[in-house]
Amino acid sequence: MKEVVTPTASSRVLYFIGPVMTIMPAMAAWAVIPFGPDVVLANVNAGLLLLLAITSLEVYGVIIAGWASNSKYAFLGALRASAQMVSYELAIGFALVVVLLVSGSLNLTDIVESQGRGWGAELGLNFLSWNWLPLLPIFVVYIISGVAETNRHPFDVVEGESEIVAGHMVEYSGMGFAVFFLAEYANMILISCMASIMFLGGWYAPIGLLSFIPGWIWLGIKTFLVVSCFIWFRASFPRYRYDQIMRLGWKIFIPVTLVWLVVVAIWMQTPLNIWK
Amino acid sequence: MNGMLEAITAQGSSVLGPAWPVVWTLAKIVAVLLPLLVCVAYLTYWERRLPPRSSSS
Repeated sequence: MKEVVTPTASSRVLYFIGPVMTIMPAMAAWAVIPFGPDVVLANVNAGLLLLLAITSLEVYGVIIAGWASNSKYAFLGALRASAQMVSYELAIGFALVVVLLVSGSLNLTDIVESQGRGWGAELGLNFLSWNWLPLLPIFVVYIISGVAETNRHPFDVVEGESEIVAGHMVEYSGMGFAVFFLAEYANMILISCMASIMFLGGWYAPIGLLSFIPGWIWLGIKTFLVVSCFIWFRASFPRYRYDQIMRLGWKIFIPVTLVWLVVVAIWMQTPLNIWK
Repeated sequence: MNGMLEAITAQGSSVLGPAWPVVWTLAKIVAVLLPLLVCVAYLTYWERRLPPRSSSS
């Protein structure tokens, strides 16, 4: 199916805008990703806010594609996908608010640099100063929510061979389908890179002795490790049921992140505050 | 590194004049997006190759 086939009853303009709206945020978000202390396309002060704003646009591409296809399967798939993406975006948002709280900045470069300070970094064990350790529950919530946000296995209920086929992409062929596919993988890399920046020290080496290796290589290695987890999840876990996915998002992850937000806020007011 | 970038900026602005900021911004966008698209391509390839190989062994 390399030919681009447009369904007769589809809304032609929206049908072509759908894939573009899906891949565009995954590309545009890279503008604020820092690869080193001064290596960033746009060092925006509200970088984290910009990133959340851009990535939240992606759901519109899915809805538009599902609606414009004029197919029951595509529409039901789009509803499922958009509900799932919006649900897990909340958990991701709250998880990033916790990081924002401990870093005291929305600037992604500042967030990485705040992880280069602390007793671990003073001992040359940089990885002990990164956010993953004190914010471990949030890190786990972020990674799992990232998998769900990208509609990846085991949360890939937007596709189902026996019911809604390829979900919102079912009427797409050729380059239209390829763009949806590319967007899924570009989002995986973006979410992984964000996890590296927010929780795994960004461009910092895990041990002070390895600091001679350029920062962008460390960021690449960390991103690769997180992306590998996505592949590992796909190869290891059975698919969740849709109601289980929604329950996990709304009844477990959102409460956990909210409680941990309060815990960290109280922690920061005590003499045991490690983020001074 | 910074010296090299400054030399490129000076050379570029002298050759291209007012068009240089646009060209430089586009060059930076390509420098970020090109490796990203290569990563996406190889990630897709790797995902199609790795799990079947590990499950067959």
